Amino acid sequence: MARTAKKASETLEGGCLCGAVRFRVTGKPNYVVHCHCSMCRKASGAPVVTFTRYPLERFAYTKGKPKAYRSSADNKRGFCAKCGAQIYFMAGGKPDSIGLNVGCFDHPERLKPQKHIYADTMIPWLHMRDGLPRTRGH
Amino acid sequence: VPYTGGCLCGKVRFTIEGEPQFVAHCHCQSCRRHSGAAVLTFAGFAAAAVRFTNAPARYASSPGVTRSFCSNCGTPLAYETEERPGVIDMTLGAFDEPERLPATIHVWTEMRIPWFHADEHLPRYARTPRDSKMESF
Repeated sequence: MARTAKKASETLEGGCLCGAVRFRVTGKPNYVVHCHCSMCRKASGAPVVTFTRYPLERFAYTKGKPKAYRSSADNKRGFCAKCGAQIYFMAGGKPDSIGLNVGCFDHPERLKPQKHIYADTMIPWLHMRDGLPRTRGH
Repeated sequence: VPYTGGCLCGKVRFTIEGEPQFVAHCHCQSCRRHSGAAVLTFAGFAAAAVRFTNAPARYASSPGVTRSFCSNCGTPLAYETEERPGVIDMTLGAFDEPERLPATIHVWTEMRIPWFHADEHLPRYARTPRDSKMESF
């Protein structure tokens, strides 16, 4: 059984594919979700992208910084300029927290998703029978 | 009808004639780190069939392996390995109509995140079809 980040003191680390960018988070995430929106698919190349959100005060870069891309009027996505790895999603409406790509974590098994968002735009052939709740939009 | 796609910002676009040899969900850690997702899905095409409007940036992620991405927005676009010359694996999410490319296999399931459940009816390989047997259910 995978351990989940439940302890207030737990530290998780992650980084990009080439290692130029590394980060650390502490404590419990606000949430972990599978996102099926078309922009997340285009940004990642993946059929579904899993994000976790942490308060900025419990997040820090320990090495390097991603390049920012303004993906819409209010939102930014961060990726490693050297290897292209997708690292974060910053939402204008949530300035005090950061959405982090779960695939970048050294131990993604500790960040168990709680629901599917934008399930109305899920790829029709993708079957995810995990019993998690699904919402239209977010 | 050709397949079309591109990165999030639109700087890199591609057109592909012909059909994919496979569409694979890859569970390896490198694909996770590149996409930031729990799995990265690729459609493998003959390299000669793929035309890019702008050349993507390239990163050599391991010996003989090149991963391509958009230098402006970062979208991972392709994977090429010297083990399979003449083939380019295009990231599924970059396609304009990913619904046209249903997955056919899972690869590197020995690294699958335990909570990630998708398309469990498809054949699974602990590593790749080349170096591992198909797993039974």
